[in-house]
Amino acid sequence: MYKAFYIIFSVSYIFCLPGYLMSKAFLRSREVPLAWITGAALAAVLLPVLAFGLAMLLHTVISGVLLFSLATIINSALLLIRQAQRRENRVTRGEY
Amino acid sequence: MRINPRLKAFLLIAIFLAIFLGTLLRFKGPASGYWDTCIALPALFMINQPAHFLAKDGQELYHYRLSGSLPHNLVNNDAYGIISKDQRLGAAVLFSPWVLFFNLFGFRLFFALSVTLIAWFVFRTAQLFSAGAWVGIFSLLAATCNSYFLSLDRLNPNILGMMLISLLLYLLLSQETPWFITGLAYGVLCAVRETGVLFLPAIMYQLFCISSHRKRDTALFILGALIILTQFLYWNKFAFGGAFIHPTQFKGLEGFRPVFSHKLLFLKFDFNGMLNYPFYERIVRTPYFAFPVFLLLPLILINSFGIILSALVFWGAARLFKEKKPAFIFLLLWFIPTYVLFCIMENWSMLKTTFLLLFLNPLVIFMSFGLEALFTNRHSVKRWLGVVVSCLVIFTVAKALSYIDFTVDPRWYVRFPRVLRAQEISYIGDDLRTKKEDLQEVLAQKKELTSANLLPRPYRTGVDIHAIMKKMKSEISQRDIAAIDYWKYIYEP
Repeated sequence: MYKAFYIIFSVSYIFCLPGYLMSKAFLRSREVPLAWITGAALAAVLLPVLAFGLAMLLHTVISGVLLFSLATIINSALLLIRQAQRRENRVTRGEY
Repeated sequence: MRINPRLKAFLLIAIFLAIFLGTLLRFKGPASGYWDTCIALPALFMINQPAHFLAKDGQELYHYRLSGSLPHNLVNNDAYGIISKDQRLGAAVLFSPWVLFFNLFGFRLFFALSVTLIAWFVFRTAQLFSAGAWVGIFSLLAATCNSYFLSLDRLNPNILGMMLISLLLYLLLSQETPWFITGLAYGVLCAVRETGVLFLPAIMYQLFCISSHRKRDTALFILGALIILTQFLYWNKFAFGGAFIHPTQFKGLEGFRPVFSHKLLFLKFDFNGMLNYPFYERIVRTPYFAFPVFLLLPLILINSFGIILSALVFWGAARLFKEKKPAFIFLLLWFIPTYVLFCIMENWSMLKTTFLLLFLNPLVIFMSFGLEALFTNRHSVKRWLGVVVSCLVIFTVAKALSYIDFTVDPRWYVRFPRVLRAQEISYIGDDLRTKKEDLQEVLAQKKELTSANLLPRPYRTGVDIHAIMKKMKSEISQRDIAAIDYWKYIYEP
């Protein structure tokens, strides 16, 4: 039970959340399910490659800790990008 | 023809689910052949999971000791050592997190996800050209449910390559291309298949065609690609001694690898592969194959799709040229460099035939566009006549090819001399290079490829659901693997 929860949480945090945030940050013009799936597909191929690079840099192996750390960095970066885009949109609309 | 939105959504979910489950069930399991061992084992080493290497008689060959860090886990001169085996890491990297979370079932899961994503992006790309959902459904079925594609049941970098190509084509053909994301995806494609570099002219063409901020978008695209590629350039430098070296040209590769002299006009060079005419004096074929590669690949596709759908490729290309010239030029630029590269290659194998997946997407787009153009004006005699004439041309060419015999490439026996020496060579895995050519098999293959069937070839397979479920259950809890060192048997002199 614990393992199943761990796997569901890991996959959601490492692949689905970056995919969702990527779709919000970079694929806004597309319809929602399409953007989500495209974002998730991108996350599924990008995260492992970045983890491989980071593992070589840190002389470690691809592990849960490494993937969680990387996902946290990417999710935070995407949130910052999204926040900046929102601010820009408000400025464009004249709300500030 | 308009489909009710609810029915469309239900139909699509059912189709994607069927593709996912079908792929999940037909997957043979990791490390059951030559190429998939080259993906499965590095993926395991990346997550610090050792593996057993066996000889073909079941004896253990290596006691692999992992150092517990990358990239050193992949380089081990005392035991296996990936760098001496001509293994590409891109595909293995993509599988490693899935194996970390799902054990050996991770290979099956990501394999099935990749095929489902191919279907999804082919569907969406077809919808960029067509208002009707049925053209998209036809395209995704043509791409992932043709008999050739259904016969692929092992890990293969070209399936991942096709998934990334489907994603890239969707992003590039949609009007608002996110160039940074496209660059990232292109970087992954080049990491999985180095031939990705051949798509650069098409991407540049699209960038100059649709981008209104060319400088900014070019910079974003290059930045995205470099973020990904830097890691593999570093790996190349670490493992092979040069960032831009192709793994096949590494001096330390294990096995007998003689070089052959090639000539094109005044250019002479030695190369450890075997290129066909015009780099060689005449057109030759690889033993076991009835045709040289430049004919083999189209004939496999014609055989798989049937003559009618193959004719629609030409018809669709002609219509696209007339109606959407920039998209036609882009797809042609995507298709031609890759096809030409494989046309000049020999030293072929069944596994290498999967390279045709790298240029399948433009053909499926042409095919679906041809189908739509035909049915939107179904009373046009001219259009139907065009398709009938295309069918007749393909039929005539296929039948004419059945009367042509190509000579075997003599260089092949120089590279694999033990085929001439030994009377009986044991057959290992799915690579033909360990057994003698059987002329009867070649003739049967020729008959099959030039049969010029009108309709797509049906795919028949027996699936033992009970056995597969049992295997999947064991994969979920198992990470330990024993694999045959295929490389040792294929390239020993």
